Amino acid sequence: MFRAPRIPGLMALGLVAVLTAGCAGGPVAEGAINDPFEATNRQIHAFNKSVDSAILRPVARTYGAVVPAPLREMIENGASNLSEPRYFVNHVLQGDPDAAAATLGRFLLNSTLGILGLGDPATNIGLFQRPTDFGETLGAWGAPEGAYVELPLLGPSTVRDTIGMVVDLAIDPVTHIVTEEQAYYLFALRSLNLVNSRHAYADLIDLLLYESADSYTAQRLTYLQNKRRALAGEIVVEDLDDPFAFN
Amino acid sequence: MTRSHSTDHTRRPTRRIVLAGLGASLLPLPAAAFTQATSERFVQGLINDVLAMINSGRPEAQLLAEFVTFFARVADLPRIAQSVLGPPFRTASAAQQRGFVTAFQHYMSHKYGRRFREFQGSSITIQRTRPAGNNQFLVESQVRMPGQAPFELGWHVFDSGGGRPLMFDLIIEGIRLISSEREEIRAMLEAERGNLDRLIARLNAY
Repeated sequence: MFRAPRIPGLMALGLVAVLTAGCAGGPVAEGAINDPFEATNRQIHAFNKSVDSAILRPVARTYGAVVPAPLREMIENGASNLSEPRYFVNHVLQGDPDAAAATLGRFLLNSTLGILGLGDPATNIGLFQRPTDFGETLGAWGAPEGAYVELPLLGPSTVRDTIGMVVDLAIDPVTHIVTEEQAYYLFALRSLNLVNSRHAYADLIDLLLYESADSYTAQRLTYLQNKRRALAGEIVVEDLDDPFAFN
Repeated sequence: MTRSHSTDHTRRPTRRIVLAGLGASLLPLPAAAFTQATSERFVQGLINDVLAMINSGRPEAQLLAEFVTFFARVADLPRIAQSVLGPPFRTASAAQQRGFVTAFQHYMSHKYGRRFREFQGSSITIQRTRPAGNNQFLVESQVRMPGQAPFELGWHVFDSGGGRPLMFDLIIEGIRLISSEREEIRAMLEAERGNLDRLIARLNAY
């Protein structure tokens, strides 16, 4: 039930082409926010926030209080290690051999010396995680960002990143090698890690969701600026505000 | 224009500054150029000061007060406040403009000063510096905390006159502080039905 559909790679790419073509609207200025579905997005945002305050936040609080820190760290490392094969594939598809090699190195080191990825010796020697996704791969290939969307339960995204998320499920090497039974454990580990992340970043998430004057726009801006920087590989100087604008 | 109206006591001339100014006026020094090296030295100084403050072990209330003074000294607050408020700043009265700048300073220092402690024990290294338009530089640094992947912190600095750098924006993993606060302040102003005086009161109460 929780297994990713095994869409053959080419079919997935065909799907991307169709969806991207269908979503191509007028050109949107660089750095601008393209949010034609804002009314719907805001409704979904309100729903997501209610799910967070009713379920995820209290569960994460209990989790943080009950599960000791070393175990929490192992859960995070374990889930994070199983994301590396997906990062690796995407770095290769983006034509970034450095990041691909670093990711592969991390995966091999942490899976062995790190004992099935429960430890993270790679970070200790300066081999840091280089997260990426198929949305970024699409961007590297020149696909437009598309409209901003907030997805039920999954949160902020764009049309490009939503397509990327679906494709990532299909091309993730891990989902292809696990058995039916292991897939359930994988799902459980990833769900647990979601709770783990909600606990680990509680202050930042609470600040964004519950202390912002408008949490919808705050989350939208944070998401888009962070993703655009990741795709560009550096801060885009042209996007910076002009200190002399009011002179 | 707002700078000259600034009520901020840290800008009041101290004896040392007056003496330095006197010295400068007596010596025919050329105006210092605003360069990549100047910007980088300035940011390195900021990094040293910030880390010294965080790691001083002083109580939070005292740190917060120090942070307020520090922030006013190294950043062009009136300029940042104006950029954040945007068009409503122009139509505001001089008193409202002053009030907003002071309230904004209070709000920023308290909002971000509280998060300072999280960076205890971290190291910040400058990676590179790039020109960022007319009389501006972007100094990119890497923040490393033990056992964690580093994150990128960009310092957008500009020439405030005579080659003297001041801080304008901070960029954390691509997220620009000024644009985030612009959205936040806009939403607050909307919630106060466009009433600037009530926005100022709200910021002062933060």
